[in-house]
Amino acid sequence: MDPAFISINNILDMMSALVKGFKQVLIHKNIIVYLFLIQLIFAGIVGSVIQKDLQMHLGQTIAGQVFESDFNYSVFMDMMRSIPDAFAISGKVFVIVFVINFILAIFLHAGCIQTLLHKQKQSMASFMSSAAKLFFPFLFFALFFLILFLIITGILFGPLAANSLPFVEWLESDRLFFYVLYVCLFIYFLLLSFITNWSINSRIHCARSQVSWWQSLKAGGLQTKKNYRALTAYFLLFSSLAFLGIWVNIKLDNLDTLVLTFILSLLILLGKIIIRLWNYSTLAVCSNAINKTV
Amino acid sequence: MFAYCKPTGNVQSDRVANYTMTVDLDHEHKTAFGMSQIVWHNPSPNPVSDLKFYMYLNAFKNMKSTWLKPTGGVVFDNPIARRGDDEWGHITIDSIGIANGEELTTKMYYVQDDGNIDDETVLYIPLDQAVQPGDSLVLNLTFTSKLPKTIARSGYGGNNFHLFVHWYPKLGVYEQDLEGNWDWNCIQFQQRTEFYGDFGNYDMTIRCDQSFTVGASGCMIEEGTIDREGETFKMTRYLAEDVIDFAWCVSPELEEYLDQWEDVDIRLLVGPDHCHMADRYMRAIKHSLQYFNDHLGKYPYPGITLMDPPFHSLRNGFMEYPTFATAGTVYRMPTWFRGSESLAIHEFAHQFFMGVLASNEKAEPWLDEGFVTYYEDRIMESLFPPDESQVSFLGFKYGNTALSRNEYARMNHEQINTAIARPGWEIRGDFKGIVYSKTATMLKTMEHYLGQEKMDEMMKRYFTNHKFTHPRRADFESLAVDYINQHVNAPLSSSLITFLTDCLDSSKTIDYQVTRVDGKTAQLKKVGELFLPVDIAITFADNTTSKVRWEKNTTTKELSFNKEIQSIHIDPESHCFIDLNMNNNSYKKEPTFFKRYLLKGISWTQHLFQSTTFLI
Repeated sequence: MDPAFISINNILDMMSALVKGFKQVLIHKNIIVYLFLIQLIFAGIVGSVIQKDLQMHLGQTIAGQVFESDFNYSVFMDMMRSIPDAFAISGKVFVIVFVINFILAIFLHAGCIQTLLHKQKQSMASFMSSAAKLFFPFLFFALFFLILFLIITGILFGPLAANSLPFVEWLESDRLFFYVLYVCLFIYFLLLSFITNWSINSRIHCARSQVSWWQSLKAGGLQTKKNYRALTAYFLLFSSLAFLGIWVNIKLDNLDTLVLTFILSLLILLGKIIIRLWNYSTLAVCSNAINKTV
Repeated sequence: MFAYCKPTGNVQSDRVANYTMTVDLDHEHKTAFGMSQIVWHNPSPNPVSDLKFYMYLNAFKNMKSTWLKPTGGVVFDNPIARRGDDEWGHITIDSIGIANGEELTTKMYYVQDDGNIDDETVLYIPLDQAVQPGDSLVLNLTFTSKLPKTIARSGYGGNNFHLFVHWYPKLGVYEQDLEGNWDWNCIQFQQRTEFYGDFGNYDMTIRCDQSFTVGASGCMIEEGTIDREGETFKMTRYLAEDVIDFAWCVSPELEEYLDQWEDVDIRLLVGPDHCHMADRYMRAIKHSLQYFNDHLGKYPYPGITLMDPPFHSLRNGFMEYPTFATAGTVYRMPTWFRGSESLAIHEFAHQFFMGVLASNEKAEPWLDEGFVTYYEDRIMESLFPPDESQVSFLGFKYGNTALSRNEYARMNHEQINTAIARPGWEIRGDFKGIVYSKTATMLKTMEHYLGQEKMDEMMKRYFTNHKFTHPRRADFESLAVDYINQHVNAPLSSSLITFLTDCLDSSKTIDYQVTRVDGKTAQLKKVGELFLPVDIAITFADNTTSKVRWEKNTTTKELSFNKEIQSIHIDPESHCFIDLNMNNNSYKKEPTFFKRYLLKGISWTQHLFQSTTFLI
């Protein structure tokens, strides 16, 4: 192992990038609000259609009242049996909203990354113009990394899922199967870390240098390779924080305080947006440092 | 010295068929060589001049057996048709004779009812001299049982795991049929049928490799070693009293856990990958013993062994044998999923329905599987919170009775015959839905109408009157009818009796519905031909309430009041649990606003959006 990896200087550099990155997010806190509100509106559409579907099928029944007080398996299964397309509208709306959100997210994140590179607060017009300018290169990045992600997931878990039972029988132990699974998950984590950082670095490079998406992709890959240990540590930190948010939300779901839980959920979701932007700006600081040293 | 549990010595059954066996296991060849002495008492008033033996392992001899032929070579998703010669199983009687010297080896031949001459699961032996009523026949035989690589239940798996179930030449049951004629009840082994046997004692000596742990029915009464041809083998002797069968397993990797409930020894054999389940299994078994003691009857044996096979031998799991049951789980089974406990309780409950109340599992599977499911649901819902006794994960949860009801309700009642009381081989379609879930839902519905106390009293009578016998439908039905007539007022009593008969013999269903509410009037409907009386609860606009009863078997009911109806609810306490759709049982004027799902929908959709866009 490279001793430099665990040197105090390296850790201090990483901490410094984190602090600088966080300060940078605070300068541009208005984009947190844009992202949060747009996401909330889309999720609100999905949530209200689900509510409408339930109201249509169970609204004027006492079973519905029971279902509203807590999830009830019998009510749910009776509904799904008697009305197989009970959630047909919700399903369609969800797919449409999901696709729109996906495309819009590419647009918004293009604006975010460009904005985060500036040390001064940017106007809404500037945000929109950056987002529009970078949309198509970022769309290519999104599709490229999505395909890469699917290939990695398929290669790592496809054979395991398709042959799990014969594999366990061959191993003569389900414990060993789980160990193999843990190893796969670890490899998956490293690969995900690499492609996520590669994706962010490519986008930062594209936003900064305004070259073709292909050149940025190569540059992003090189940067990620050069600094992969520190970037993996960042990925571990930021993904852990995001998962912590989900875990806390699951725990909150068990509480009976519906509105309070919802408010806390929104705070967690807001926190996850901040974490994401913090991740972008930290990597921007890092890549800037690399460029300077190179 | 008693190594594991102590035989009671009490005679609890007629002990018609008694086996003393010694088997040597050749684990290299997956074969047991056995010597058996069978003492059979003629229970009939007639001389018996022939014998019939079950030779179950021959079902796995090749693809031509009646059991395997219809499978098309795939059993439980396991392709088996092209397996090697050494992976098939078989059983042969190498020699057989009567203690008085009559040689029977040359006289025996296989018989088939279905015309499949390749099926060798029932062996017929004519006797020169008939066994007189009340007399005993002593048979001496040697046999060879070769295990298949597990297809279903019996077989071997990886790492020298062997499960010997339905593995020895076993006499059929000599009994009266429904017309009153005495004959052997010994039918070929087929798909969708299980087993049937007579009560007796099994004195069983097993000799195997020293490294193996042995688990078996009954009590281990002797343990030691035996030297033969320069090799030392493990020797264990088991005695199982008043049981209908004997099962055993060996494996070098099973770990043993012992505990007790009152005077019952509990032995748990678990593979090393599943040791984390030991406490959960033990808790489930102890709770079941207590529950049955409180609600049905005392477990009448001195011990129970639960064996959880290693995952590679999972196809050996999930089955019941007298005083020995097999479970199944996976490594690190999460605590929010209680399927393993539920299955262990199910297989344990068979000790009562199959083991002690030894009904014919082939001809009347509902009498064991259906009753067992009913008690499994009850026990699970007393061990865990009722609405999450099976699963509770991220707000999605369900209990056992709700699951059974759903398995019943989801069947296509118009397309398939869902009558419960039929032989296993006649049942087409969803076997589990009909035999297990419909029976359990029917019994739960009866419990709701009788009340749990009376239901328990009725079932206790059934258990006490018929334990250590072979009860049939008529035994349960007549007892239930008598009990209901004595303890339930008319007209509910006749409704309940008709309901029971209808469920057993027909596909009739019931679905109460509120069809229209118009100001002060309401129209109600009953779809389906089953009937049970129900209450109807009405709330009026001025917040006053009223209750009326749907007492007669009519298809519609119209209610008129002099006040505006705010809400109306047929069967508000869900007594009629077998109702196919309980959502349409009610109407309320003010629609519910589903705030819970709106808010959860909003927050979890955002999490989903964030998670699925992490790469962009």
